[in-house]
Amino acid sequence: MAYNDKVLDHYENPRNVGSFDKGDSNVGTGMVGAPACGDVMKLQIKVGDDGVINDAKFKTFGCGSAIASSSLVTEWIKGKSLDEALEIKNSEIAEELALPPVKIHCSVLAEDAIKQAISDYKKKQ
Amino acid sequence: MMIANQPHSCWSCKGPIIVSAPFCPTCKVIQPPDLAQNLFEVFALKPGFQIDVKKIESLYRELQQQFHPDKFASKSPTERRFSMEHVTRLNEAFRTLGDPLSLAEYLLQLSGHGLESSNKPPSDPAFLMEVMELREGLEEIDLSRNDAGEALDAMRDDVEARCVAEIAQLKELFDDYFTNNNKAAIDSVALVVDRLRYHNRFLAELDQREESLF
Repeated sequence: MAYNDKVLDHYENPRNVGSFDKGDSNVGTGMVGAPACGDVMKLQIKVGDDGVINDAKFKTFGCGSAIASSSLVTEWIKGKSLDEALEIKNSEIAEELALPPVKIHCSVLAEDAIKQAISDYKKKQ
Repeated sequence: MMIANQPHSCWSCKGPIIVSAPFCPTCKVIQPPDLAQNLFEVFALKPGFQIDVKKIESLYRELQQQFHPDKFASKSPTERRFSMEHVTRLNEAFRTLGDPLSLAEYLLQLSGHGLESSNKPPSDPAFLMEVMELREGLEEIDLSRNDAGEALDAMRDDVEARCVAEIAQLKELFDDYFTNNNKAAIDSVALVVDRLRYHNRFLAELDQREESLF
């Protein structure tokens, strides 16, 4: 399958790959997976005292679209408040990366990962 | 309107025939496979998770011979087509029932449980974390080292043991479903099937890395 340039760019130069300490109270961790293809995605946010996401990291084992979707959202959520980050829709991710219909689930995964990371962070407060 | 036990007739001699009979009792000509049958019925089995793989393997070979296209090489195009259709169906049945994951997926499908149902609870985060750690462990194995093969083997043993445990759980759940008629067991089956899929995916990834060693 031919990947779109933006997907390739994120795939070849993924932004913000890595991990934070998931025990840290300023860190929220989202773990999601796509059982149908066996992909797993971890997305972590670091939230400042002002309630703004000041850093984000991800680790994804999956196809190019899953890696690109998670890489892209780590860029998008940095500098956003939790409420703003919750507003990110998978359709915006899919549109930005021009994902074909069979890869839409990768953008859904990334949206779910943000939501889970935020809910994990809120539980710790 | 179709009547359930409406007598069927042979496509060739028009003689009476039982729906799923592979050959006409009158003219002995091959009939099309009965696609309304499920894949268990191809081997005259009842649906279930306890499959005697040796038994279906010998049935498979027997039927494979019976329908082999070579035996129909000199027959009409219709007969040749039916022989191919039987063989295709047979291969599908053997492939599906011979592997625990595809067998479980097929039983889920027969039970009417949607594989991709959107209201399914998301996978347990603790389990996903384990998957993530396994994938990270695999990624960290330095393939240029002499002991890379051993490290890969150790990971394979670990994940294969996890698969064995999941399959044992599937046996219990399907037993509960079929023997005790506990319909709720099928929801748990779906979760175990998901876990097996992650493990299979991991093993496929491991195979790829192993191949790059040689």
